[in-house]
Amino acid sequence: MRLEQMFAALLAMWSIGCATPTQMRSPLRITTTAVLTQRAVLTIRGRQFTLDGYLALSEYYGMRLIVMQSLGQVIADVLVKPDGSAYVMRSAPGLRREWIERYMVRDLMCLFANVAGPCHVRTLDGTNFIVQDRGYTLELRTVETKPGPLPAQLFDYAGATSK
Amino acid sequence: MKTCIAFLLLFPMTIHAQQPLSLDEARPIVEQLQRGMSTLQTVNLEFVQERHLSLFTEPLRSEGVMFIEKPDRIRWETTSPYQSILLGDHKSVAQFEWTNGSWKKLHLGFPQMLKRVMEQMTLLHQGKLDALTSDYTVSVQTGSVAAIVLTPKDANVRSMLESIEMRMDPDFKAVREILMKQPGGDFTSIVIQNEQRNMTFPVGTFDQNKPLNLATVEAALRHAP
Repeated sequence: MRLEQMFAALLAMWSIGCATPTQMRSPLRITTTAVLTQRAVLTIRGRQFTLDGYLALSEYYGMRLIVMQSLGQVIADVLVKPDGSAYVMRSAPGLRREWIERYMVRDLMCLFANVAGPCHVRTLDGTNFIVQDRGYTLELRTVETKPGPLPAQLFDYAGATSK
Repeated sequence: MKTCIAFLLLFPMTIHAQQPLSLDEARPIVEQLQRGMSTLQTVNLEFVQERHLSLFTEPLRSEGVMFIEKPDRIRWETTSPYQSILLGDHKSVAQFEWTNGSWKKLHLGFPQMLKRVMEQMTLLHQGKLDALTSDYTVSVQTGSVAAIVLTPKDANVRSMLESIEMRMDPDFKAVREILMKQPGGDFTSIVIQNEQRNMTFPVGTFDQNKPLNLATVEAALRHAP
C-alpha cells in the first residue's frame, strides 16, 4: 500500500468514526516557551499508527505542531495564533486540511493552551495524555522538552495553505 | 530564506558530486556491492537520526540500533528519546512501544506498507538494487561522495519524499549515512555507527511476539566468541 493510499484510508476511517467537530476560537493561555518532542499512538477502529510530533509553544506567538511519520515525512503542520485562529501550513496528500483544523487543533488547544471547551482529554500525569473521541484514541507522550526562546518566523503564517 | 538555508545545507554534498550513473551504467559497481554483501549473514549497527527542519535551529535527534539477519529478518529499535521496536520478515511485521513501564504490541494499521519498507531496508543492505526498481529510479554516484540514490517513481510519494541517498564508503562496501530528502529542503539524516558483521544473534532477537530485551541482546553480542 502506498503512502497516499494510507492517508486516504486513515482519513476515511477517521471521518466515518468521528462526531461532528466543534471549532474553538478562544484565546490561548500558554505559560511556557519551549519545543516539545512527542510520541503518539493513534488508534482508529482497532488499528494503530505511531506518530512523532514536534510542538513549539510560545507565550507570545502561539503554537506550532509538526506531525511526522517515523521515517520523517511530514503528515501535518499547523499553526495556532494567540487569538485561537488556526492555519494549516502543510498537509500530506489525502489528509484534508479541515480535519487537521477541527480535530488536531481542538485537541492541541485542550492539551497545551488551557482552552476551555469540549475537551476529550484525560491527563495521566504531566507528560502522558489520552485523547478519546468517538472515532479515535490518541495516546500521547511528551518525551523531551527543550525550553528557550523561539524565533518569531516559526509562528509566521505566511505560506499557510488554509485558515 | 528556507531555500537559502536548504541550499547551504546541501551545498557541501553537491560540490564534490560527479554525474550520477544509471543502474545499468553502474553495473560493475552494483555487482561488486552484491558480492561484498553476499558474504554477510548478519549486520548490527547503531544509528543517530536527525531531522533537519528549516523551521528549527537545531536538528531533532533520535538514536537506536538495527539488526539484520539473512535472508530477511530485521529489527529496527529506537532507544531515545522514546523506545519503539519494529520487527519484520518475509511473512509479517510487528511493532512494540514502551509505555508506562512495559512493552505493548501494537495492532498495526497498515502492516503491508510497513512490511514493504522493512523489505526494502533489507534489500538495500544486501545490495539487491534491481529488486527496488519497480518503486524507485536507482542511480549511483561515484567520486568523493559515493552514494546510491533512490528516487520514488510515484509522483505522490515524490511530493513527500524527494529521494533517498545512501552514502557509502568509497569502495561501496558499507553504508555510512542515509539521507531522506523532502521537497522544500528539509531532510532526515541517519548516520550509521559501530557496525558489526557476522555476529550470531541470540534466540528471540527477532521474535515478533516477545522480542528479547535489547540489553540482553547486546550482552550476548559482547560475550560472543
